[in-house]
Amino acid sequence: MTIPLAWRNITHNKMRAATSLTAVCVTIILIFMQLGFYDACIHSSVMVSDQLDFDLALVSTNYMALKISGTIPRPRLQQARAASGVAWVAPLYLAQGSWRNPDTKVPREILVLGVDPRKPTFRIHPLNDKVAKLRRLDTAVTDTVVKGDYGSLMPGTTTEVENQRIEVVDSYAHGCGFTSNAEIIVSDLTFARIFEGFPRENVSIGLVKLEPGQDIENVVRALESRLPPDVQVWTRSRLEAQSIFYVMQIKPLGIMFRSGVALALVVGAVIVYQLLATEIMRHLKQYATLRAIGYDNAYIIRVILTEAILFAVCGFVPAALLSWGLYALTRTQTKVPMAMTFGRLFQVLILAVVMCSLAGLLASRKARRANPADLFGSC
Amino acid sequence: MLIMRKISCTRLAWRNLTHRKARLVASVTGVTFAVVIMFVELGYLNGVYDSQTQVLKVMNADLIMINKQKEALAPKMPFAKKRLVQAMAQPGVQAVYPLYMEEHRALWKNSRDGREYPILVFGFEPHDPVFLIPEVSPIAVRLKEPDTALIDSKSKDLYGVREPGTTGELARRTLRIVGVFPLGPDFRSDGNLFLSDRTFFNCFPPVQGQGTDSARVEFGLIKVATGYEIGAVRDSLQQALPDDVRILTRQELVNQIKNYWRHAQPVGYVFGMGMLIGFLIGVIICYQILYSGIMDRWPQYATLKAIGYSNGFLIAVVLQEALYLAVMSFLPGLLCSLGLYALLEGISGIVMRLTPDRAALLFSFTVLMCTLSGLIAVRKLMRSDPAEVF
Repeated sequence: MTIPLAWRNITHNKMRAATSLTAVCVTIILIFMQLGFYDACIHSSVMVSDQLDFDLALVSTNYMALKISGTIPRPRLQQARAASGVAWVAPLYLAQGSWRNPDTKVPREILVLGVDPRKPTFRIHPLNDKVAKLRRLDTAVTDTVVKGDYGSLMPGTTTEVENQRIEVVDSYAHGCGFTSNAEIIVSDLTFARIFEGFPRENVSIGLVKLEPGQDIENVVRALESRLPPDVQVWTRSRLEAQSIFYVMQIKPLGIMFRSGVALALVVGAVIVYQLLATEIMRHLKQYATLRAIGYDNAYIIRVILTEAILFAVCGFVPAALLSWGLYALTRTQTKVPMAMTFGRLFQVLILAVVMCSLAGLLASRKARRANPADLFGSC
Repeated sequence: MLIMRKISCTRLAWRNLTHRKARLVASVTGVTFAVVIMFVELGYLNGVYDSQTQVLKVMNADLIMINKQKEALAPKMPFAKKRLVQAMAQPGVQAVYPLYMEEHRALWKNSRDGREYPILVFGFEPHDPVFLIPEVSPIAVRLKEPDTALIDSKSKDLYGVREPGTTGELARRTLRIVGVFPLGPDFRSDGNLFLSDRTFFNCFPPVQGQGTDSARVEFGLIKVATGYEIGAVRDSLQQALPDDVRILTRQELVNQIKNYWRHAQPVGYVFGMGMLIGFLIGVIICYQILYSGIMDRWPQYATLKAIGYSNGFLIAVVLQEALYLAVMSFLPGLLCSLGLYALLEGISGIVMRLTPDRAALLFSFTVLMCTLSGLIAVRKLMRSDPAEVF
């Protein structure tokens, strides 16, 4: 019953409807983009750990992020291996090093991951085969997704990492997100040769893979009781949560994007409120008339709310299409990983409807206060 | 006759806009928020650049010597100290101050919770007036005591208590804080520490194979003698010294670092897009306001045309309305943004600075935004035929 009236209200003036809808549409696009950047930020912070195959991680008590991991004594790995339910344990070494661009000779920072080439450390199976080649000393597998100019990363390239001669034997494409601008994988022995100052008897993180069907909580408790307190036993999700916390709460970029989302929502609400308020002001006489002939406030609120939701839905559809295109554009123009998912579409639709409904409820106060006698008196 | 028309055009524009107060407030609010979006996105963009060049701006130098391959503030890429010594011998150079820097090996263990966290460490000779930070000059001399440090009070809370008297560990050496200064974190490091050069080298002895102390200067600060032109001294130094170092003016190095961030990170794209969307929102809302205004007064406009006022006059009225709208929404937008900048700087630690030139830039965007919408709105006026209305 309210929809035809609400619909008529909006479409009565085609021009005004078009511009109002465009304003709502662009506002929703802003929300899409801010959410996209925010999510890309979160996704970027776990890109390095995403590559690794593990169920539990042994981390130092100083662990803050992958680059600031602290170290744990190497014997902890063997001690963990002996616990029941553990399939295998693998070491992970992490450090930032200097990669000399083989073409320009300009040094650049690079994240170096040191692994045992005999273990299947990575989730991406072809990568484990490539990593097996690292048994030869002073070799590396490069990640070709880099930010900035690192020169040739192709197999066959030789260059220096921290003054240690390195030969690239294979490459893959993944990206390391916010952790660094570029990354390479080397064997644990090569890692020790590159970073001579790295404490020899320590590893950065211990990766633990469980037998299938294990109760994770039980194994965590078993490991915690077995291992000394200089090591923390974390689940995969705990490690990811920490990475996300570090980027989103400590690092300024995360804070900027979170406030960006908040700003988009607040501004969106204000703009929709302004649109609806103007709409209502236009039809004030009609609302007064409706009240005069007996329609109650509840009806009027329903009409306005319907208008608001119609705004939301009609503005959402073109906004979603355009944002899909903008996400794709962002992916190609920058390395920011922005992907449109059904989850995102649903999330923004709900946000748009809630935002417009709240604005509508607030704006409806004007209509409810419309006194029929006043209006016709000033005619 | 012409002058009279101009005056009434302005008044008419003003009257049109302000005729209904409630409607005006609603309209201006919409445009104001579009202005706020643009201000905040611009603030973020500049915040990235400003934060990464903050420490440079407080260096007491006319020229700065860096390793030729150094691109940004970090990572560490020092040059041989003897280059500075060579520079000292050149004409026009009044003084040189070496500034040492350590990043990755610098883990600060605070005494509050015993956690280690990376900090950006600078080392210098305590008598050298290296930094222009007013708080540093009187207390720098206290660094002559061994194993002392000054800590950045605006560092993040992770570093524990940041007050004189507290202790902490750096590279397994216990240091005592003897003073604080305000500087602020950037995108890479969350805090800053100042040490004397002696303490610096005690904490960070050279790693095997990386040469002796002499190959360690990160920034060579150079003061140019009075009577010499800075650019000329820069050029003569560059010529006189081998090309493994570069000499730049402070502003040139700031620009280089900004450029590095512009290209290495997609900040321009991300925040530029936000600004563009804010701009578009502003155009649409402003257009709607002006267009509704025109449609509401359609008979009046038609009458004016019928009695001989040209299209030009009517267009001028609408454009003036657009201009008033720009000014009326810019001022509250500016005030709102000043508050937001302060809030965001407090939360994130990033420098959010609203300088007059940035405000002027945003004002021109706002005017452009409203003028554009005005130009689109007047198309309706131009096509109208007075007879239609009656």
